[in-house]
Amino acid sequence: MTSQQGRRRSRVAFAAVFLVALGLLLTQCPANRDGAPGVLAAALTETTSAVRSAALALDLRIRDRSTAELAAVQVTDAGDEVARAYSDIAELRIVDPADLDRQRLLAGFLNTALAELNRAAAQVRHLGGQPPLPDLRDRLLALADELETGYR
Amino acid sequence: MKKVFAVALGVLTAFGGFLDIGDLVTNAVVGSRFGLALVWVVVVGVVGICLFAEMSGRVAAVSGRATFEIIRERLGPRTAAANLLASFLINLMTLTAEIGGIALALQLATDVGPLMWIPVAAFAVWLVIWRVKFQIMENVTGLAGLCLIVFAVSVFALQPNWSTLGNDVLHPVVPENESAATYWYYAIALFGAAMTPYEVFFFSSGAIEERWKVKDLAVSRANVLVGFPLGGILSVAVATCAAIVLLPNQIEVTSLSQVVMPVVAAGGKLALAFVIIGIVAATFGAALETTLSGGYILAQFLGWSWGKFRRPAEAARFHVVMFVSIVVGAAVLFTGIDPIMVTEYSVVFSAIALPLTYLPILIVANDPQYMGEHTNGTVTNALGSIYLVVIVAASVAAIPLMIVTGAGQ
Repeated sequence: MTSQQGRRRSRVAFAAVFLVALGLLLTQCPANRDGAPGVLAAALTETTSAVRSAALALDLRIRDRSTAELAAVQVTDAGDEVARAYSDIAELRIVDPADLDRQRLLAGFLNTALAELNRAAAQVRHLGGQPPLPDLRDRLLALADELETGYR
Repeated sequence: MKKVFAVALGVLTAFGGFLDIGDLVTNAVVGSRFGLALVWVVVVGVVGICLFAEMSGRVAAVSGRATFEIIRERLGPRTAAANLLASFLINLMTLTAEIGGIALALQLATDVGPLMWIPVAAFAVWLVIWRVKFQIMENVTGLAGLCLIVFAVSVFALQPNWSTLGNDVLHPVVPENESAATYWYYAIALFGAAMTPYEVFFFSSGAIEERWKVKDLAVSRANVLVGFPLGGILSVAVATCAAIVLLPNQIEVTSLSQVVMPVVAAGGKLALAFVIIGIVAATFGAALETTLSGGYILAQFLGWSWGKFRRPAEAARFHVVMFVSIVVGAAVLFTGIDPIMVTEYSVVFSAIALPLTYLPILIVANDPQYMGEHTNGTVTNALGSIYLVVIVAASVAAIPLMIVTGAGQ
């Protein structure tokens, strides 16, 4: 065996080991490892975090510590986060009936969260016709609690 | 007196200019998810950047040449080209994140969407690079960046339980709702954010711009050894603010608007004004540094005329590279990509490329042909070697951890 052939074989062996290692690694990425329940649980965490963040933003605005501009940005960012979570769970192809029920329940919660966040964004921008900020803050906090306790 | 003023100005500029969008976001994310369990990484990162920035500044002051010029000459064009490619791409990614950071910070003040601010930010970065003198540019952004001290002030204003905080720092544990893989992924991200490669390229090329000589080594060391650790304290303050306000409220940071929440809770609208000015200055300063770093390394590798001390017409290719980099960064942001996501990836990719930046610096700083009597001492070499092991470990582990954790999900 010439040294050139030896080098070629070792390169092929290295490439094969690398591809196998990469393949094994990819089976451990969250989407493959945890499946649909993992994606649903991640969406739940992201949504409760976003809703609580919007509630804190409204609280700071109510206490006049924050500006209307900042509160509007914070509530809009929370809405974007919930919309992303919604799109993640909407794309799931679920066959397990228990997971399907969870997906439906979570989608309902996310719809409600988006509606409340839109109302809050409109109110901090003084667009009128919305419930007062303290009510919106309390509703968001209640929704976050409901999300955590209601989703099992 | 003049020298004392120069040292003080240099230290304050290094202090105020230490944080960029990567540090701000990564520290806030970590604080909101892990509390203070990763503060030790900031300490390790700051010691590392001090060590290697001092080396690259010394190389520039002693040899009169920037680090990348010597890397090409000392290691040969092929090795230097691999280094250049990785450094340039990561630099471009960081520049994109910084322009996005300016736009997001301006959005916080105005509620006008970032897409409207991106062209303004990109144009302003180009204009300053084109027209403003190096020293003025560096001092103004560095001093305005001192407004970020508001994070440290906020920690005291929030009146935390100091013993709990101290315990979290001294006995770091992975929170129950987080995995060990996520913990280590963010450890690497924090390390990458603290030791971003552009900082050393900028520091060494800046030494040439400011015509440092051997007699300036003391000033250079003071800038690095005092200014950077003070900047590191601000990094810890950002994480602490998030740990005090956001973690108990179960809010995980995913946007810049959440990073400022603890400061607003602590100090109201006045603190908000300071933090917005500070973030704009920090991201703007970092955008200038990354733009210049991109121009510096490419021009130094290809042997082009470079430097802001030359008129743009005398360093035309250097200025074209910077202009194109700014346009590419802005164009990437116009695709609608989330600047925070770009930031999070840029710090991790920085960590992956760290050995390519820091190994050559250690080799050159040990070469008596360039350094004469100013080659590394035993202690510096021992520390440098330990850091290289850490850097290689972080670089090797970064991609597997990114895959396993779904980029820190």
